[in-house]
Amino acid sequence: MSALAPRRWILHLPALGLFLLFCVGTLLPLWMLAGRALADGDGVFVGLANFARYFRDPGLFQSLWNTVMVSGATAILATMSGFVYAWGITRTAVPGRSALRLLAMTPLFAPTLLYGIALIYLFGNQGLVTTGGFGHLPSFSLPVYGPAGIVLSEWIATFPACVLLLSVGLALSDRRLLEAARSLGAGPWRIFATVTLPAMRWPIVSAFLASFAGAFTDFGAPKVLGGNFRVLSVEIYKQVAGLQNLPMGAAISLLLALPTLLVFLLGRKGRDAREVLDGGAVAAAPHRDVLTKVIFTGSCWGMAAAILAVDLTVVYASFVRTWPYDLSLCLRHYDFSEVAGFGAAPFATSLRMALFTAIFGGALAFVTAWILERTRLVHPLQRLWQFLSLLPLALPGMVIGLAYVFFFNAPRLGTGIVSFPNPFHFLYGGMTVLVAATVWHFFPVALLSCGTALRRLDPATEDAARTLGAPAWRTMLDVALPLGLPALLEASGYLFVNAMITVSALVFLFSPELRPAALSVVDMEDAGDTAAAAAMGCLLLATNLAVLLLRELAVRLWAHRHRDRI
Amino acid sequence: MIASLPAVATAAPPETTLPDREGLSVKGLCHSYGKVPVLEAISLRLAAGEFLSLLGPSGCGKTTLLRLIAGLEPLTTGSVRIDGQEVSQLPAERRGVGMVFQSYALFPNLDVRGNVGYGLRRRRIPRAQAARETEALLERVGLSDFGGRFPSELSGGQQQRVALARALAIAPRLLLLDEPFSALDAKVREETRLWVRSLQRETGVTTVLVTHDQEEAMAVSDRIALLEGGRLVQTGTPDELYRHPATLFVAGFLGTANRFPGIFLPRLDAALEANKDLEAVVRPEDLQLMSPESDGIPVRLCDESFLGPFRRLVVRDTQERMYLCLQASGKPLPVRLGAFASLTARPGSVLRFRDTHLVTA
Repeated sequence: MSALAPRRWILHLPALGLFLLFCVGTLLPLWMLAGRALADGDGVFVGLANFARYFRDPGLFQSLWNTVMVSGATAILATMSGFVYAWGITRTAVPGRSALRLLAMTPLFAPTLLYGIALIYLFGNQGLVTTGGFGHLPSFSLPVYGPAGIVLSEWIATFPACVLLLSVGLALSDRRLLEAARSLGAGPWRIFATVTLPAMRWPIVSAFLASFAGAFTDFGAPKVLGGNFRVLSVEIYKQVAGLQNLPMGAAISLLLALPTLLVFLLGRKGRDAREVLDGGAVAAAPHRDVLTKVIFTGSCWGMAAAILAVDLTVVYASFVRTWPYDLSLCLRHYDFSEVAGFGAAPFATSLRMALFTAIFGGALAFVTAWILERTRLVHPLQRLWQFLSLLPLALPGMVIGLAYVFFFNAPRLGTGIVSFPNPFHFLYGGMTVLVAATVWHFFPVALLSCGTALRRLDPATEDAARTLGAPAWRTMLDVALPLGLPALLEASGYLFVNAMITVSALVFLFSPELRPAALSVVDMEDAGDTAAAAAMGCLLLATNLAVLLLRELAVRLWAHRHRDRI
Repeated sequence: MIASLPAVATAAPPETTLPDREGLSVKGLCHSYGKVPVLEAISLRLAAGEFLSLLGPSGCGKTTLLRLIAGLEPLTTGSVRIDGQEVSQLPAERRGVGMVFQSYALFPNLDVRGNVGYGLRRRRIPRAQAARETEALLERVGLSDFGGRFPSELSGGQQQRVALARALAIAPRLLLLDEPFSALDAKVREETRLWVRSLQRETGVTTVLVTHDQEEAMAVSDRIALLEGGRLVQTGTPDELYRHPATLFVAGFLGTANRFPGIFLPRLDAALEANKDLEAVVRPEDLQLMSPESDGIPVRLCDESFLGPFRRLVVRDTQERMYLCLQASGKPLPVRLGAFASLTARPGSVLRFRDTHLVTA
């Protein structure tokens, strides 16, 4: 590269600029967040004093313990149930496996607090189950406000990730090993203990950690169901939004990042372990004996029915006139003009924000993936860039949100002599910051999806375009874009769906005029307009399902147009 | 298959002397991946219109050299000149080089016409003119009826012709072929390479072919450059390389080389003296199998197969070293299978090597 002519350096400039944007957009805010956690309210460096105070305050410390307990319980439940479910849909002849696959994924498309609301309708004081179906059945009560309710809704929310991770792992475990074990005379339990489980070590660990981290960092469900039960994320919110104690909020948010950081580091290690997997592995054939089929049909469909019941309850509740006194159906909860919050405006805000996130985030993910996978632009920086791009996997949404508050809200950047007016300050409270935080939060998955697709393209195709007169950036438009379009759509769809439902990254960033719908669900619930909150949540879920359906159609259309050409 | 390959004007006999104008020149080119050197001090010069093959075993750096010439790898040391113009600092898209890839690398999302016309669109040639040129090229490669097809709807041979038409569409100053025939089956491969050669003669484009197939290199090239471990071992016409291989490696890589210890020299050719520092190489067609009484290396006839014009004989000496011998099939065998005979070489045909290098004189 040393012999590059001066004018070829120009080619590196856009890539270099993009890289700088990444540094400014991620490293600087995190640096400022860490700085706030180590300073007092006036910005004077106090070392670990904030942390010391946190651990001395029994109430605050209790919140850490509570969060660990709730997350641990969620992780155990979600991993175990996810394993049974994943086993059912990959290894047994349960009927309706593709329907089961889809049903398990629905919680991915709704804000977690929708499940909190659903649980209130099921197990709250006037709940469907608590009152025994309004007196038709024996009543059953569950203390839904508190740890039990939080665990239940986190269980539902993290169940899809567990099923995904575990079913991928199970689908990859090698049939040849199973057959070899069987031919050596091993019984089914022995095979499970000596072949299946060891091969599933990493998927199980990653499912456990993913659900642990998901529950640990979630804000929506504990906000709705927590009551007096203190957890970290709500504590941060109280410290920052309620008490204006920003340094303490920053310190707690760093504690909040610990499990996700662990997942991130272990995930990298796990990826190295996965690379040892035999490429010639043959997927195992499903078990077909009757008893297995009956057991797994019962448990898988049971779980799917539970998820569906929760979904349907909240949809039903959103149409009921006055729960539980007047059960006639109406649309009035979908008219948001008379409830707390700002009417239907938040939905429009969310829709706009999700669209911007999908468009800019998708484009950014695609271009970044292309630079990282297909070019040698800014070659020495590529490893660092990759690391920065995947870093949000280690960051809870609240950390990202707080970091952006500190970054965009600061009137000046730098310290001491090297201090200048913050050129990004004017963006604070605007749409740009909301979109940037959301893109950053969900960037890694979008990037990985584009990167995987681009890695599969024959590099000679781009070389051919080069020799035919296309500059490198042009090969991106002519080769990578048309061939990687499904991956780009997937990334954009993923960004859209998550932008619609995310709460944690935005809870500190919104302004009164720009209030995302998922947050207005929190407001309405807070104000006691539970039915309207349910309606808004259902609206978000329906929008997401519609967008995903559209994307699916677009990808099908693309595949049809290209038949088997690619 | 040959019927579907369009005829190329063959009226003009192949030029025996190439013009003196330079087509491609590579000087002092070195390249390494990290700390591993892959090419060392490569220098080459092609006359305009010349067809040169870069030949060598896999991993010898030949494809890397081709990519460096095309500008697809960044050049660190040395220089490349195409058609008299220094291009070392030009990116691939400005070198005017047509390239055919081993995988053909057609754009799967474009039809045949779109593929062939791609380079013209990048050059902002007016639409109507580009369409005319595309059709003319399609006709030339015999794919006029396939313009609307997509690459996945074509056979391997047809895809290869699209790739060639696409490379020729930009009227390249230099055509680079990276193992273009290796994915074709044997019969189609032989026809296609002869057709490509005549097309190249007709267009007169300077061409570099990368191949590991010595037979292919000898069949189509004006000259062959043989690479071994990142170094250029010998450059010359197929004839030169075959008859005067610079090293034992060249002798073994092109054609079959029967190797004899130096003490056998007088027995192979009475005019030569025994010398244990030397190693002798004789081509199979230069070996003669005589009756056991005559003077030569005593060998046993182990195997015999009939190849039409030739008989292929396998013989072993008393040390069980194996030699291969080709004899005109009209000539009767001096001994029966399994019997002893005497092996000599045609006078003047023995190549002698000292420390793997050819001894001239």
